[in-house]
Amino acid sequence: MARVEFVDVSKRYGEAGAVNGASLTVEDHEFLVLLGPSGCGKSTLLKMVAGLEDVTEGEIYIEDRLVNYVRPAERNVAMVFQNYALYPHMTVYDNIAFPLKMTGVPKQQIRERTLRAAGALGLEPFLERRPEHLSGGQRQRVALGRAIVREPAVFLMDEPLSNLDAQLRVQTREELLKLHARLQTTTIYVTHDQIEAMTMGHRIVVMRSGVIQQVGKPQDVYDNPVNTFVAAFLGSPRINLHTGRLRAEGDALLFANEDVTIPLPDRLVRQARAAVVDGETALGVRPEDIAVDLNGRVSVGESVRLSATVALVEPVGSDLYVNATTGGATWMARTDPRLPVIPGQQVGLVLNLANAKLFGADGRNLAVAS
Amino acid sequence: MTAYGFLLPSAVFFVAFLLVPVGYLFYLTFHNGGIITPAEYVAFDNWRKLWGNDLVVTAIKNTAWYCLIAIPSVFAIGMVLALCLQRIGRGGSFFRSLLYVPTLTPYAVAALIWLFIVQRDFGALNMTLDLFGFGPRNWLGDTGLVIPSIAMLEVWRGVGFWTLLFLAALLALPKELYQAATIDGASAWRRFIHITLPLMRPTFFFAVVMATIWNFQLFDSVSILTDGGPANASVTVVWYIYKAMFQFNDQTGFAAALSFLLLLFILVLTMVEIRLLRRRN
Amino acid sequence: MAIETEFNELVGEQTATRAARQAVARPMLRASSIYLLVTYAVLVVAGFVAMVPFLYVISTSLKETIALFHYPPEWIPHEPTLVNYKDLIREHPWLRWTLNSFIVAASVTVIKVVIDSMAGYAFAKMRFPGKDALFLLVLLTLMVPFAATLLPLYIIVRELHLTNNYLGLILPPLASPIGIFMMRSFIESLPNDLENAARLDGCSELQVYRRVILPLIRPGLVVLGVFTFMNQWTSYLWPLVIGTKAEMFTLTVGVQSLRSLFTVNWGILSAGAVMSMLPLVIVFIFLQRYFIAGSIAGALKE
Repeated sequence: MARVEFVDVSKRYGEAGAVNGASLTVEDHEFLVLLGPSGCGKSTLLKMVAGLEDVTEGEIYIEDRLVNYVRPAERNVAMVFQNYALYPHMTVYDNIAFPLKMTGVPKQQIRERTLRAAGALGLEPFLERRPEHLSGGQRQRVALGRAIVREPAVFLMDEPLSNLDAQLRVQTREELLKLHARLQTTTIYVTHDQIEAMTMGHRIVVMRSGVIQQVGKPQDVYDNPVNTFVAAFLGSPRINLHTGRLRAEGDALLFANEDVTIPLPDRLVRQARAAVVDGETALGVRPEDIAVDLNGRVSVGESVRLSATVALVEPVGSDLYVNATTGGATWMARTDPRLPVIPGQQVGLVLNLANAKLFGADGRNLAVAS
Repeated sequence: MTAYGFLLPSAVFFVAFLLVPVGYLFYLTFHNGGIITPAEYVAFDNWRKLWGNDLVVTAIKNTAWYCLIAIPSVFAIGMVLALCLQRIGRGGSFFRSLLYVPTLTPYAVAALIWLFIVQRDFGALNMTLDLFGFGPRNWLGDTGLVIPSIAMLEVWRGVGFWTLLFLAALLALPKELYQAATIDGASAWRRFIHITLPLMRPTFFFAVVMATIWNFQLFDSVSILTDGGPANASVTVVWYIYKAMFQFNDQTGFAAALSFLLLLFILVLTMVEIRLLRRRN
Repeated sequence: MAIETEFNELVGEQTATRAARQAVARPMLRASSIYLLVTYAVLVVAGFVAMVPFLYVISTSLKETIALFHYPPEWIPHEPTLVNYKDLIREHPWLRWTLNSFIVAASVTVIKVVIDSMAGYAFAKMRFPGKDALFLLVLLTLMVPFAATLLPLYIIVRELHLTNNYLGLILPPLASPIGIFMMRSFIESLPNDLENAARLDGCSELQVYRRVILPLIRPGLVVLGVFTFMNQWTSYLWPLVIGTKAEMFTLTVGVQSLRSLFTVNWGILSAGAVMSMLPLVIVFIFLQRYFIAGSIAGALKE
């Protein structure tokens, strides 16, 4: 049972807290991604599992064994570092074989297992080379080889793809997933890249300033972010977030600020009951839920139409990002790349509120809070 | 805790042959004897003797005079040579080695070699002067010439070292600045004045303190070339410590006090140096 | 067709600008070649001045002492002779002195490289209580002049009965913390993840040091080694104080003892000077790079 369990884990350097009260269970065979901006404590959390950082408070269990005071080498984990941390003075073969030598594996087995790991990663042609004579992708694979050769209970990966170029990153991402499908080893993967998190993680853990914000399946987290931070961190282009107040007008409930007034659909009205009417709120609409209407023809069920001026157009090939303003507020819409729209043009923005999110004054998603 | 294990081997020697001696030295400054007879408490006698001692004043003056001659000369020449080496780039390795060889020479041996240069009768210097019709001079026997003669030795021996140090600093200066200045139309001279010198200032500061610390400990060449003479004109601080310890009778306590004075002086310079280092990092 | 003319125009344009540029560049080229000439002239003169004392001593060592006082002087000996070298080796324990110097310098170097790299590793990469205070102590004592501790050191070593003994020559120089400082800077520059990886791979701290750190700082070790060896080889004051028997002299002390006769034998003295230069110059020829790096690192300590 290669489960990893964090019970109220904290890490402090002097006064400053790097991780605060993290509780989390990583299931056997799971591929869990720790996601967050730099300095959010995700790497510290990972290093605490590895035993490279002491745990200030709380407990960490690996395979149901308390490991707070267990030496890194005896925790049965392997780690892939951001810069790979290959030993520059050793060949590829020696790099991969090193953990086996250090843990006293019999000679004959060392050779066999090293060659098997190298073979699985297509490294046979490079076994006698030193890391300096390898490409970035090859180095990355050597680092992986050094991790898998131990057949550990848990893989720890600290932004292993961030030093690769874009194309190689996508390719390696797929290879990592295939590897995990084959080995089924519990994996904790740290990244600041939301695409990696969404595509790779069985579950993702979003962290901020040392505190876990949300844990869940990628799509769930994307659809139901617990607060404005998570909502803004996931999704590119960013979610449109506007603050305003709720105002009752007869049966209807309106979201309003000095730029826009938006009648809320029933679903959001129900959520808003939980919040104080007339309090500060934020409305979140993802760019893909906004259509740009050039001739007044677009109209969907729960939609709201705003008239806006196009400020900026960014074609990215598959999509067109349209940046438009309504008074002082800016909206980002993601539309058909062939839409003939130019800056300065007056357009209608059709907001599909079916997926819109309403956040309370404290930034928490009202849907999740209730 | 393993950290202490890693520190232990050096710590043993550090404590036994550095910390303990420094402490013991402090103890000895209040005692006399210790080498031949057991140490005997004399309170502040040694410090008092230090205060009114003319030879101490002479020693400090001579040492300072030596530093004042040697350090600026060696720096000026070293900087010029460093600029030359930087200019010719890769081809300079032959000259680099050539200039460095005197630095390899042990002080004691360099002093011996110098003896052959400044010796009155057959020394190379007087023989060369003779070629141009100048009469011989008694380089080491003249009270006014003796310190400059010994400083010349330091210039000869040390210039290669400082040249290479300055060269390393020059090569580490950011090239983009020079390219930008060239595009802005700055002449080579202006680039030197406005870029090289200001950027080298920390290196110079650092080097001056360093050179003072080293040169203030002048002993080897004085001991070998003149033994303090003529008429105490080349007595230096360390030479006096050595003599007081081993050759003048009953002056160990005095030697200790003088040593401690030297220690304090160098400690102050070291703190300046540490501050310079910190600022640079 | 259109493309071709365009191309020609482009090339024509380029040749024109190149010619213009050359026209401007030519006087500059002349000026810079004069500069270069001056540069070389300065270096040649400096190199010559650096070498002259050696050449003169070598020339002297090849002359009979009588010939020293000839007038006009002989810059190059008319009848070169090796008699001074023969006398030097026959009448004085020259080989013993050389051996002593070598034994002392080599022992200090080997021990220092090991213990200083260990301490440097602790300071560079480990966390332990008192680290900052201890390191400040290292910094403050970095420059403690040997001369200042000469007296207490002499008394201590004499009490330990280590005068006229190799240990007496070897142990005290091991106290200098400069090497710790140098090694710390070298080791600090290694990425932390490298040791972390080694720890995860099952290394103990000692194994991390021996199997990962040491191989990676080899250039630093050589630099420290050369620096230490050179300092010991050229050391004079301590061997002078500690050795009273001729067979325990090091080269630097031994060569001076040639002088402490009533009449100076200039011939033997010059041969001695040449012979005490020789070993280090030979080593230098092979390890130039490290010598230069070593002495500069010793000064900058970075």
